[in-house]
Amino acid sequence: MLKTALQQGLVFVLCLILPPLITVQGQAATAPAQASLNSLAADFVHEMIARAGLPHAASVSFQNISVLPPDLQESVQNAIFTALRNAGIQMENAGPSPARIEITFSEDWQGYVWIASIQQGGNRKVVMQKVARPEHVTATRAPMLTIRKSTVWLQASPILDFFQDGHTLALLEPDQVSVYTSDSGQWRLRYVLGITHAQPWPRDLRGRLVMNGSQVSVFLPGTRCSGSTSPPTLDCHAGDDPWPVDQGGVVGFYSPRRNFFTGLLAGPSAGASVVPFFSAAAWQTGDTHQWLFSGTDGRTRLYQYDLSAPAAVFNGWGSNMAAVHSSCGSGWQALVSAPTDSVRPDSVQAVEVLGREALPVSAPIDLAGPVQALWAAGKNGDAVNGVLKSPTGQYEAFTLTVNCSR
Amino acid sequence: MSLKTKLLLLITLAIAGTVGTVAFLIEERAHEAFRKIEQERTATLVDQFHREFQHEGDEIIRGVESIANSDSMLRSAIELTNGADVGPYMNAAQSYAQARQLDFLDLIAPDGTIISSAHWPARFGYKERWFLDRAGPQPREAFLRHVDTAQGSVLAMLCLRPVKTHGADYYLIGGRKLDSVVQSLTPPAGLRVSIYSNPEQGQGEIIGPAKDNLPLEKLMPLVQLAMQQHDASKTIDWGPGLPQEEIVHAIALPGYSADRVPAVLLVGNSLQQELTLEKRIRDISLMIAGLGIFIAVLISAILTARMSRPIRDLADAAAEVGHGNWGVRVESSSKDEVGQLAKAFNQMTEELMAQRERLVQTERVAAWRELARRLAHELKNPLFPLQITVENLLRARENTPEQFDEVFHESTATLLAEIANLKNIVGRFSDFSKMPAPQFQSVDLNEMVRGVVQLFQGQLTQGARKIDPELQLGQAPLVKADPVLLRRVIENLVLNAIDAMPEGGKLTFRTSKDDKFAMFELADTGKGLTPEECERIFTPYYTSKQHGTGLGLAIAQSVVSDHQGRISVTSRKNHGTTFHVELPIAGTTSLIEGEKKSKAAASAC
Amino acid sequence: MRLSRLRSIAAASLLLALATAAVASSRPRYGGTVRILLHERFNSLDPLGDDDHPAARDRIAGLLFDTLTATDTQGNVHPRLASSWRSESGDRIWYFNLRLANFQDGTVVTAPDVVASLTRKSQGWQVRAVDQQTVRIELPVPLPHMPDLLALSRFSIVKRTSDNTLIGSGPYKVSEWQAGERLVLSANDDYWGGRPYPDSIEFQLGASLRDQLLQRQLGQYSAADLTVDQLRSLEETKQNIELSRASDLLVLVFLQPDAAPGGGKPGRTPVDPRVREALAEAINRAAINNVILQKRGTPASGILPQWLTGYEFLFPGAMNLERAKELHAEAAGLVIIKPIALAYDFSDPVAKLVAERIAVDAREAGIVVQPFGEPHVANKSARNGMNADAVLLRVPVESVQPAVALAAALDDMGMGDPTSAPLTATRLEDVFELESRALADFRVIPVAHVSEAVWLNSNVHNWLEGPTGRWSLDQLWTEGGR
Repeated sequence: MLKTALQQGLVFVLCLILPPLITVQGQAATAPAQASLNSLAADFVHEMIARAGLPHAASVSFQNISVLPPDLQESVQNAIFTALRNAGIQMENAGPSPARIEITFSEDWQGYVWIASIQQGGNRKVVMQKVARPEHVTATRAPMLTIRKSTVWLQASPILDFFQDGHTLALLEPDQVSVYTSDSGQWRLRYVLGITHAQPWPRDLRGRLVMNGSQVSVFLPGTRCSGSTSPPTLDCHAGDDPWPVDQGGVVGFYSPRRNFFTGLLAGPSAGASVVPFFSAAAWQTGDTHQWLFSGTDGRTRLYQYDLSAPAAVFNGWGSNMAAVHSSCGSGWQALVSAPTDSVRPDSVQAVEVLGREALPVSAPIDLAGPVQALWAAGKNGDAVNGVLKSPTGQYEAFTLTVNCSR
Repeated sequence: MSLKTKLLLLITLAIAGTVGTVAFLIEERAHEAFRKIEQERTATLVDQFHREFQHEGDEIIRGVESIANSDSMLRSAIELTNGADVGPYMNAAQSYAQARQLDFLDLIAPDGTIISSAHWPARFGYKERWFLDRAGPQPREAFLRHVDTAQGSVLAMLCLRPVKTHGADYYLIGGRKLDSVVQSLTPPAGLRVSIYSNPEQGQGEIIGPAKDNLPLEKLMPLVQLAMQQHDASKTIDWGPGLPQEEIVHAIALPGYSADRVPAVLLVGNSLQQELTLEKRIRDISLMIAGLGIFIAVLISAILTARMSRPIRDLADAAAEVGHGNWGVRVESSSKDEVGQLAKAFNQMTEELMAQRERLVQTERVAAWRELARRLAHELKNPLFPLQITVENLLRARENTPEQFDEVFHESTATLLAEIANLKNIVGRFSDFSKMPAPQFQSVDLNEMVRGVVQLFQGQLTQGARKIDPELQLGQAPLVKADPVLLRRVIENLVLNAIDAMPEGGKLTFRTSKDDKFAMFELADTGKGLTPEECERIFTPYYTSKQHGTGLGLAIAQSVVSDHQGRISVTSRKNHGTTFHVELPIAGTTSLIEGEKKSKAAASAC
Repeated sequence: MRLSRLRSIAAASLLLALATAAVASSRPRYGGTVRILLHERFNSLDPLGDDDHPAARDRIAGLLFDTLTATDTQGNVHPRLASSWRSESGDRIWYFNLRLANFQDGTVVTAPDVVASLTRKSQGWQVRAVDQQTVRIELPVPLPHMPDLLALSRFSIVKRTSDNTLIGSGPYKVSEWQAGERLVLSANDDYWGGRPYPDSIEFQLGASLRDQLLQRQLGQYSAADLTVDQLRSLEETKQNIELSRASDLLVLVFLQPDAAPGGGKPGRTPVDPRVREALAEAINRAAINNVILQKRGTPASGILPQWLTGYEFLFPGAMNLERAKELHAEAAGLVIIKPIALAYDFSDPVAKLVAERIAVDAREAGIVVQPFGEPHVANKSARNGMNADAVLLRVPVESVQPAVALAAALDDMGMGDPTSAPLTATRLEDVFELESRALADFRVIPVAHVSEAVWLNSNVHNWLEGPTGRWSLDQLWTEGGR
């Protein structure tokens, strides 16, 4: 802890906070990059002067009671010294000073807190500033296949599904479809199509957005909407039309007051019935049709050739699943979320079915929050669109693709 | 005190003394027997206590040793030695203590820090160093000591054992409350066991049954004595509302260190039975004594009735004789000493009567002789001048006939004067011989005195000699008297007093009364009388004056005697004379009946 | 080659996957019954009233009743019964627009209902219905944290019938209620936010997990709250324990104010301020935390924990026995010092130990503290008639917004009302100043921040806890349902 003279007087305590953005008490937390440290320090010194007033000379001491690493602490301290000098305050190490500044690098649950305790004469003033803590980035390594994740969009309100084709981004939200278009590399909102529904949505709301040219189809529990992007219209009515579960031909009826498919299939498998399921993946390799259904009973069932009886049952899989086509392995993998609560950070792993075995073929890719949705997407199903909810409460739309690796 | 009373007292004392002595002896024997039984019972109970004490101590030792030697305790000690967190062990002592039924258990670190305390869990972290400071080895046996708890200091029987690990000893101190030992005792009826707890700080207290009932201040002297000399005993009266007296034995109990007594065993042996028996003995004794006294009263009444009546008759008769009734007789039919005494008494009174007759006769003769002598003397005085005068006449006729007429006139004058004197003497004598009978009526004595004073007022205050009259009239009631005669008496006394004070003086008139008599006193400050004069002053014709007939006081005495009263004189030479007249109050009779005139005058000079 | 490598890695990964759960899923399942053991008993379901264990009651309040707003685990405010809001006059007037929602009796939640409910709790607020769906609240002072404040369960929207039956609009409704014993909630199919996943939730009150362990009946339960003394034994048996941050404040509160009337039993003289300060200096908070709380907490010098504000370290909290003795001697020379009667919750073994430890520490400074168990310590209105000088309370941190948390804590301690000064604070420094002021006279002596611990069965999912340890059972689901 760097300390200059300790005397009666003004004490400034500063806490240094690193980026990203965080909003507390109406004050915007700043993202601390190296370049912004100086501006942070300057802002903080300015606040100290405004609230406490500073004399021409002061003794400054530091202490660190947070997890701020020592090297970063030194940088912050230097920035503060610079800011104080720039404000015309002379630092004194010893001898009587009219002001004493005690700076503490503290932290709360959300980030760092700079606390300045300023002692001048018999008075003490305290100034505080919050700064966000940087997120940890964990690297993922996939020895065989690499799952690559690309963030498409971040927003505070829930995202149920999305569509993007490079110049249009459509987000399915609980009460609307938001359409963005690309403008100089940024997505800009063009219009919003409202969704009307009579009944309240069930919990763990799920939805499906299908964009076919300008045609817009929205599938929601007990509600079906269709419209177009040009002109932008969307008409919704109550209905239990079966949903397209994935691009492999699975079409199933969805329970209007729940969060799962009833098990009754439509489309190519019309009339077939399986156990109620959350998600499904289907593909065809050669002449073999294969289906994977993630049942509401926690078991994942593998059907091969037909849907009369499961060929295998797997335990310990997550509820979210989507098939992705790649040039690796057997050509089709199922991207499966981890079997955790929907409130914990999640991960997605690629699984291949070989015979009647399902084998993980990639390392799990860690995600910041629980997966809310995984839907097959892309041309020929070569991507999976996913939505997760980050610990900060933000909903992130992302795309997963599979890369082959050595 | 009468014979009857004496007899009664004597018999009563005899009976009471006998009964009391017997009762005392019985009480003493009973007392000794109780003491012996009490000592035996106390010794038995103390032995029982020691056995229970020992037994409890052994159990505590077993319990603490089993904990100290257990694998779990050893493991815990090793973990703690290796730096394990003490937090998880906070409640360890409680579970060990519950398993071994110990009231107290402390797990203590080598430096005395409490790791876990079963009886005061919150005291972890504080230090107990009293055993670490001990000079010698730790006691193997259980010992008494006070244990600090959240509720205060509690007397306990404790055992200390180390838990040895490599490099450090942990300690276990466990035990139980001592009052459980006391509770386990079942003293027989009449015995009480309790313990005085003597904490290092604060006030001592009694633990055990009835601890709330015993006033500590009565026990403290005994307790302190026991703490000094190991044991002591004392009889204590607990006072009203509590069991009565007890003999309390106090025995000091040893503690952890020799210089401090942590507790005193108190064994109380009730004296209730003994006191009840004593009371019963006393009650019976009292009943017997009472009965005896009653019988004694009866016996004495009977005895004294037989013995004291004739004696009382004798006494009454003697009193009668003393009052002048010499004719009294005592009847007695018994032939014993009392009968003989009565017979002798009767003989005595008869003799006295005869002698009195003879005396009266003799006195009468003497009185006549005295009267004749005085009359002769009185008469002789005027007769001699008569004779001289007649002789002078004869001589004058014969010798000096020329002076015969002058001499004849002088002589006849002298003859007439002397003849008048003779006539006066004879008249007075006649008056004296034939005093009229008094006419009694109720007379106010004070009024009469005032009248006499007024009459003599001029004579008293005028003239060369001044006599100062002083009235000291009390509440004199009406007297039964003849007012004329009585007045003459008073006047006579006044005249005598005036004559006694030729130089003047003070004359005091005093009246008063008692139950039966009104008193009149006349006191002068004259020359006084000699004792011989006092004896004879009331004798007719006795006078110490140059003039007077000498009958005044004799007449006064006669009048007072006729009034059933009494007149007396007291005097001191040169200091004055006082005449005392007692007259019966109107409505009462004279106390002295049959009083003779000749002996009625009492004189005290 | 590639396939063999694939297979070996796959086998290892599969083993890993299998090790986590035999039957697992990441999407919530509908159905089933969640059984929860609570060791505290509450006797009333009314979130607006007093109770012997209000914190336990407030755990379930959110299941029966809605508030206008809600805060998530990040502290962000979200709409609940109010779909939107705005403020005017510098946050002195607030407008809340209600969403379409029904009470459990089928009636619509209207603005008058909200007005009636808020008026019952708020002091000095002028609450009125602008129309059937809009509520206007005018405050005596600007409250920028109004939305955070209204998320507290004490501002639940409760409809009362003429026979005092409580009706909420929450995701569950009461099926069975035995006060102090058992509460069974069943899912509200018509809940505006969607029917909850479980069919029912059963709460067993006054139950001990240890008893269930001994009776080998653990399997039928989904969760149980734990006391500190139960933690270690359960951890040793590899049970699933969730431990929150150290949030709940164990605090000594002196009931009688020094000057103005209010608080505590009338006629009881307040404890001398020097004695209070001496007691604060005498308490060995480190020992209490390390031993009694078994390091499942932190020594407290402030009302709000360090992890919430970052500034708790500014308050002194180290034991200073010499200073305590000086203060006590100074007070003894001026006033007669009586023993301090300290009441603690007699159903909480940890509180008993802490109170006894405080008495032991105080004794070293010459202060006599007499702890005694009391069933109604946490009941604010009951404290006014209590024969105690001070109480040992466990005060939860109800919000991650420091100003709101401080206001709620002071209100729970009887030191202020929910519209008190902390809510006007806009900066953290202002909250610090207000907290300093609350602690200055030593009527409030923080002892420790305590973590909340809960045992979770592996068949229960989406057990949400905020940083303060407050349960959010809204998303709960259990395996075994369909």
